[in-house]
Order: sequence, then C-alpha cells, then structure tokens
Amino acid sequence: MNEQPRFLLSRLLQRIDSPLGAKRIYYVLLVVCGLLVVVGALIPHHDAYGMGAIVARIPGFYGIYGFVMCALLVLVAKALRRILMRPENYYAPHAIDSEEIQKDGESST
Amino acid sequence: MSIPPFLFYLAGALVLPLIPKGVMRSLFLLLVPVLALTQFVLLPFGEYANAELYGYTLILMRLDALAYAFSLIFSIAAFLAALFAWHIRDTTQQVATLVYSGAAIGAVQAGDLITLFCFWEATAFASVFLVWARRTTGAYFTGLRYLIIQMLSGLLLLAGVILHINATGSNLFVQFPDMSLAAVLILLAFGIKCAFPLLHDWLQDAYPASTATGTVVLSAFTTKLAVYALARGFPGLEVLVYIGALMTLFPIFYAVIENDLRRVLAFSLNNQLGFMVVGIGIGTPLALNGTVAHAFCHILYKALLFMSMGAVLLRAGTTKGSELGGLYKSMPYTMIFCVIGAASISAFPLFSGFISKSLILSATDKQGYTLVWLALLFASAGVFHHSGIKIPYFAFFAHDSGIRCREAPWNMLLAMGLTALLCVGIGIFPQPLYNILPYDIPYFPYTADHVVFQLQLLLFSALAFTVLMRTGIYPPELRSVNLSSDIVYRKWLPKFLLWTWGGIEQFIVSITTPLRRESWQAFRNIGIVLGNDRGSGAMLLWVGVLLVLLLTLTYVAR
Repeated sequence: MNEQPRFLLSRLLQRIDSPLGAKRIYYVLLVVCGLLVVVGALIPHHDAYGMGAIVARIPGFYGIYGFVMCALLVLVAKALRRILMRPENYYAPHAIDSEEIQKDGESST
Repeated sequence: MSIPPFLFYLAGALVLPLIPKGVMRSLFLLLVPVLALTQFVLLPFGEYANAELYGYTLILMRLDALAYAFSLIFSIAAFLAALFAWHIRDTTQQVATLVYSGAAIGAVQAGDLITLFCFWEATAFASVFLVWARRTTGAYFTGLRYLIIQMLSGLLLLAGVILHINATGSNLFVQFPDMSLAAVLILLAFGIKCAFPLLHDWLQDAYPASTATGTVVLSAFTTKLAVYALARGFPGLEVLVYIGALMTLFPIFYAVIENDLRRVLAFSLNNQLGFMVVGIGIGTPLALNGTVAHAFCHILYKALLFMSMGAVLLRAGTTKGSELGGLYKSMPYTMIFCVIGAASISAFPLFSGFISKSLILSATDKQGYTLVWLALLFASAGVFHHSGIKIPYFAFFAHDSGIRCREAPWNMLLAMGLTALLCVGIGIFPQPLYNILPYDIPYFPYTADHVVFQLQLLLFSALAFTVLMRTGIYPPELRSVNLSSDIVYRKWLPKFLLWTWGGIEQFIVSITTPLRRESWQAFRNIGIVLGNDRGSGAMLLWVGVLLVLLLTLTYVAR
C-alpha cells in the first residue's frame, strides 16, 4: 500500500479500506441497529394507520422484517441464477452485453 | 402571449446544427430549457395555445397542477442533462435530446388525446437515436427492438384514441369514466411505456445500451410521461395497485444478480415506477400527491445515479460490476454523488426519496391494503439493498480492480453536484415541493417514529448485506446475462418466424419457379432492400398483420 491516491478523501477512505476496517464497520452497524430497536420501542407512535399501527407495537419489527426479507431476497435471487443465467454473449451480436469495452465510452466527434 | 415550451425545443433542434460545435453550442443547449421554462413557470393555470384541426380543438398547452409539476421537473432534468453532456460534440445526440425533452414536455401539457398521441410518438422516435448513438451493432439492434415496442405503444394509443373519440365525441384528455375497449387499449399503451410487468423488458434492454450521457436523458422522460398519463387518465383504478406492487417486487430479484450496474439501475427504475403506479391505483389525494412527489424526486436521484455510472463508463470504460471496484481512489467525488443518489433512492431521512415515498406508503396503509403495504416495505428494503449498497459498493469499493482513471470532467461533476444538492435540499426542505402538488393536504414526514422505523428497515437491510458478504453467501458479480420474458421475442419468435417464413418461401418458390423465376427474384430484392435478412421481412409481415387487426377492431367497434 505504498500508492497514495491524489485526493484527500480517497486517502482518508484508504485508511479504513482493510479487513480490520470492514470488521469495525460491521460492529458499529450492529451497535447502531441495536440502539435503533431500543429507541423504536421507547418513542411514542402516532402517524401509523391500519397495519402500521399494529406492527409499531412489535419492538424491532421493521428491523427484523428488513433483515429477513433482504436475506430471502438474496437467497432467492441466487437460486434464480441457476435457471436464468446465460453466458454474456447469449444474445450476441444483437445486444451490447459482450461488446468490446471502449475506453472513454463514446465517440466525441 | 405565451409560447408552448415544446416549440422552443423544436426550434432549438432546428437551429442547433447551424451553431458551431463547442462552447457556443453547449451554452445554447443549456439556454433552451431555461427559455422554455420562462414561458410557463409563472403563468396562472389554464389553457393556452389552442388550435382547430378537422373540427377538433387541439389544446397544445394546458397548465394545471399535474401538468405543471411534470413540466417543471422535465425542464430541470433537461437542463441538468445538458450540463452533464456539455463535453459531447455529437450532433445526433444533441438534436435527439432537444426533440425528446421538448416532446415529453409537450405531451404532459397536451390537453387533448390527439396532441398527446403526436408527442407520444415523437418521444419514441427522438429517443431511439440516443440508443443508436452508441454506434455499435448491438446498440443498433437494441434500438430497433426499443423502437418497435415504443411504436406498438403508439399504435395501441392511436387505436384507443380513435375508438374513444368515436364513442364519446370528445378528444379531451381527462379521466376515463369506464373501462371501455378504448380505455383498455389506452391503458395498455400507457402500460408499455410505464414498463408494467411483462411489458417492461424494453427498459432494461435499451437503457444500458445508450451512451454515458444518453441514458441520463432516457431515464428522465419516457417512463415518467407514462406515469403522468396514468395519473391523468386512470386515477383510482384499483388493478393498478396490484400491478404497481408487482412492479416493485420482481425487478429487485433481477437487480441482485445483474452484472451491468446501469442495468441494475434500470431495474430499480422499474421498481420505483411501481411505487408511483400503486399511488395512482389508490387514487386518494394523499396517494396522488405521493405519486407526483415521488416522480419529481425520482427523476432527480435516478438521473444522479445514471450520471455517476455514466462518469464511470466514460472514465473506466465499463459499468460491469465484475470488472469494477476500488474506484474511490480515482473518482472520489463521483463516489460521493453516487452515494447521495443511493441514499435518496433508498429513502434515507434527509434525502429526497424519504419525503416522497412516505406519502405513498402512508396512503397504502390508510386505505387498508395491508399486503401491498408489506410488499412496498419489502421493496423499499430491496431497493436499498441493490441501488443503495450494491451500486456504490461494487463500483467504488469491494476488491480493488486495479483500474486507475481520471476523475469525471468538470461539467459532469457540476451536473452531479447540482442534482445532489437538489436531492438533499428537497429531503431537508420538502415544503416547496409539497406546495406544487395537485392537492392541498398537509403532510409531515419527519415524525420520530417514522424516522426511526425507516432507519431500522434500512440499517438492518445493510446488516443483512454485510452478514451475507462476510459469510460468502452473497452471489458474486459474474459476466452474464439473465433471461427474462423478452426471450419470447429475442429468441423464440425469430426462430419460429424464420422457420415458418422459410416454409412459406419454399412453398412459394416451388409453385412459382416454373412460372416466373425473374419476378420472384424481384420480390426477394425488395425484401433485401427493406431489411437485411429474412427476420426483418417476417417482422414487416407481422407489423402488417397487426395493422390489419387494429383496422378490424376499429370497424367492429363502430
């Protein structure tokens, strides 16, 4: 990691761009999620109707729902790959997917 | 005397080729949206610029709250897109962009169905040049597919409009009172442009095929024009609630496994349209306000996301997740703007998506659509998952791809900066946007529980992403394409047509060869002129069949 990016922002980000940094972000996220559940259970609820009013009484409902559904989303999508995935040149030459990469993508003439 | 804004764009498109390429022309491209905006932005609501045609009154400029909000955001989008494309020297793209933006604004200000139809077709014709502007074989064929489907939408609209005028004697574009055949045809026409499920494939097919700047333009107009048309013609049509809910759901699965990040954005565009369609289907003032507000915010943050990926395409040469990574080192500003766009589409508090999507979600729950409400919550988490995390993560972070490129040019950064500013500005101060919505009802997005629950939903989704990444379960980005319903017309139908056409041809050859070999050869030659292979000839035949079918429909309905 001798290479120094030109931009200050990039240099700052590079400091946390490591397995250790990723681990720290993960733990911070865990703590914040825990805090949100606690806060969510304590604050008053008023702007919900119907189902929104019911689930507002379940502590952490939104969090659990988001977590479970996202995990399901990824697992189902991953399984769908078995059925849907084809090589990149499947529709070639009638599609752009497998066309040569062009540096500076477009003609500027 | 006010001039309809679309005339500025059309005149601009005519004059543009005369202006020397370079700074002068780029300035001119910025000026056109501004001049056009001055024509309507301060006008009181009403009808301007009427014309008579064969006994029908054409209303070229109808301003009411709905048309105003869409005209305004279309003008802003046209301006930002022109700034983003400042460095482009391609006359085709410049003219196409002007005609396309002008036609879209003309369409939302059209007060009658005949005018609407004309602009509907104009958006299709103009926009296909943005796909073709990539100038590769793949883009050429993609453009053809795009054009055929857009034309199909136009044909359906024309048939519906003719039936409607015959039945009611009125060509005014207002809410359709019942679901007559005419209304169904028009709904289908709107549905194609709005990318309803199974009618959606053109969107994910064509948008990633355009140029770095062209996709930004494409993303703003066509689909939101359809949303406008639906909101005008079919508010409160209940089936739209379920169509919209489906639209929010299925694209997110595709988005997870899609490799081309601009196609991922096209999927999330489709998902966001779903929210707007749900709002139209519910049709209460709160829901319709939500649809208009969401369309407004959506155009901005979607343009911002497509801009950031356009900048990546320009500099790194690709937007494939499998090839990218670590770009924060080379393009940190683009990364920041991308993250702002991602936060906006994910509806983080203080960003624009939050203050618009909330209206639709509240309206859904208020009207008792519990399952749809849960589906929309899921879709919100899902859109954060792929647009909010996947796009910035795989482009700018993840494993370092080793790509070292320059930061985006100044004009792209400026365009992204302004768009990002609008996204954050609207998110923090939603009231000016709320003020231009069709219905005057107070709404307060920033209540404690609303903010906390939204953060819970989003951060736990982020947690799911991190856990799946750490455990290696998250599917890697792979160079691939994924099958969708468009396989019907991209693989199966051509195969079938070639097969039948071959059969018909053989049959004709077998009976005509003894008689007139030369004239058959002439017939073949015509086919070769019209299209360069037998597939195109077959396509022509089918277009003919379709036209006959429409004609028959018209007579039956009399």
